Amino acid sequence: MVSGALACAAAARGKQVCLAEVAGSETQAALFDADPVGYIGGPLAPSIRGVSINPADAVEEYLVRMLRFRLLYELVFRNRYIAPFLNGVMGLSDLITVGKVMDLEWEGLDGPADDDPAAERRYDLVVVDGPATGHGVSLLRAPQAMMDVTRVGPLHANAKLIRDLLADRDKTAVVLVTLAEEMPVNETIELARALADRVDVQVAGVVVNAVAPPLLTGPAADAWPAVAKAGRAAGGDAAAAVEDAARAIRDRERADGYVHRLRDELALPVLELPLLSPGDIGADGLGTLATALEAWL
Amino acid sequence: MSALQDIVRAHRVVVVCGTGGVGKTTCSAALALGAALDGRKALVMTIDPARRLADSLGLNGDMNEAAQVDLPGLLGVTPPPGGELHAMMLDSKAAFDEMVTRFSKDEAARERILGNSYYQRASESLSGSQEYMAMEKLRQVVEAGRYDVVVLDTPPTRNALEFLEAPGRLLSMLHDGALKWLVRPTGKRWSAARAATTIFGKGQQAMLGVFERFVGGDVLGGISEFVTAFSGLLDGMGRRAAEVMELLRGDEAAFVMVAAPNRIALTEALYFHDRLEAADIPFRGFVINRVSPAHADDHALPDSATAAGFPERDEPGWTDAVDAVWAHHRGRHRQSAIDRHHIAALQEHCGDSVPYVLIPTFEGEVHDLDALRKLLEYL
Repeated sequence: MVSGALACAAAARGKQVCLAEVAGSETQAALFDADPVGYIGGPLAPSIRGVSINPADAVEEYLVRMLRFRLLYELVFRNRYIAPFLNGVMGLSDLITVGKVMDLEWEGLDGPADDDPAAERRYDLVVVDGPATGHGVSLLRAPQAMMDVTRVGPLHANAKLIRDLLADRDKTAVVLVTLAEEMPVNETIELARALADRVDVQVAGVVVNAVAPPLLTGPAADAWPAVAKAGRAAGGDAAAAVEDAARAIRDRERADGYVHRLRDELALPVLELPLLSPGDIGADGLGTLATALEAWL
Repeated sequence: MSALQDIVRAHRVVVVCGTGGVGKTTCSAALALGAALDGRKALVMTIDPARRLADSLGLNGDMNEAAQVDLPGLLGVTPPPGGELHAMMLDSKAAFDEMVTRFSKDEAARERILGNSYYQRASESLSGSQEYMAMEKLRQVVEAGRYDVVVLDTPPTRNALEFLEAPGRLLSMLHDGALKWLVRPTGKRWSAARAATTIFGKGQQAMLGVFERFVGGDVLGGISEFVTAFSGLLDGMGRRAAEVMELLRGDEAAFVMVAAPNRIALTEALYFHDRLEAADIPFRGFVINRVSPAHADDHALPDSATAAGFPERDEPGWTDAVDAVWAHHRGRHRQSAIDRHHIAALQEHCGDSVPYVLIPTFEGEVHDLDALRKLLEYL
């Protein structure tokens, strides 16, 4: 949801955006109320094109291109014994997933622009909707890991290109997304530390999604104790409403505490995004979040 | 409500499934706690790398071995005679090492595997290894017979059946076909050319040469060494996996699914239920976690805050506060109705033969024994 909103915010600034999902998932299409985009990609919204990076397709595209013989690819990589080793043990599918992201970044207006800095790009921004915590580190570490095991050869050279793109502070930044709850905050702190230790990549900041806005502010907050008292005295629905509100106020205090912990423990910018009502999860909600993200771009 | 506790009471193995983030681990811990308070010796096993269960049970440090939870000390409750709660957190890597040790023919074979540079990556990242380890450990624990009931919190998976299917895939991948290709005959150097002759026929040797240059010959050689070393373990591993599947399909096992009350999670739950039924797995109940509490018999709300009984006052902020409190209450009411609508759709599809246990959203997070006990009241 946050990656979709980021794409919207960039598009609203006149940028051409590519929104890529990994592991073959297609959640963005549903959020944008668009048709599934598949590996080939498809439009999600004006100026936003979606791509769903399915590791199998990415590996095929890459290897057929690199090995030049489709038959060899069919022989080796379709082999049910060999493929799992290359993908799982050596992290080939992770590497090539990130490699596909690099290809998207390299796409020129007519054909590949490669790493030619002067060539005009098809996209001004590529947003990647990454996997959950555990897999995120191994995905971002895949190029370095491949370089460590291969040491020489075309695969090594490609892994190095990908790693260099990730390490390029001017081009690549990681945004961590979390919730204002205990476990997600713990995981995010661990993830930020793991990235700092193990991957040469810039972490731009943390987005705390779905933070419920304070129920009462200003004079209304001052009036709360008296309102609560009156509502409880009235009983029935008024009393039930007071209990709901009291709970929401306590939830908000807890959430504030978790956001503070993030700020205290990580020297990173932290941005809170508002909670959307379930009916707003979709195109309207993306707009709301995009507005909140504007300041970040 | 005690529908699920009845299920735990009637089985020796309870497998708790569901996608990530729905409270699977806390529900598993609560069910095991219930069994302990019921006078049984219970073990809860989790593989969750976030150590949530450890937090839930107030346990710190390494838990690869089962540790008893101090119920009188932490909960102020002495369970009936025989009632004990134990917890174990599976470290997939450690379990893999343990399995290598167990099934290796001799010390040399063991050292060859543990020392292989691909082994560490394989034990962590080979798809299915976590699931295989969970099953292996489960079998080991059940076999040892030290517990009356074992509650297994399954690894979070995108597809809920993954847990059952992954071990088989891991094994078939490691099995003999792979060896033909990769195993280095004793005393001879492995080469892509030989592998090509063995499995693909002579005509394709040249292509394999291209491949070898592309990936780097030493890489395939290293993998080959790994598979060679592992080949001795496969029979043992395969036998164990088959035994575990038999156990899970039998009368002693029950599968329970935890889901959240939104459309996406419930669609997934429904799909999983159908797949389990089709695979002849004993599915025994749903837990729908974090349901908005039902507001007193879901009656229609009064039209306004005033109608609900809030007095009108001419004080600063009063009207704003009352309106906000009332709007929030209406929102909760609406959410509750939506949750129930989704749950009803699930029930309609899956029928009344299994219980549907609804757990309200708890305030704060469930990570101590008191909270688990509160959760248990709903299970």
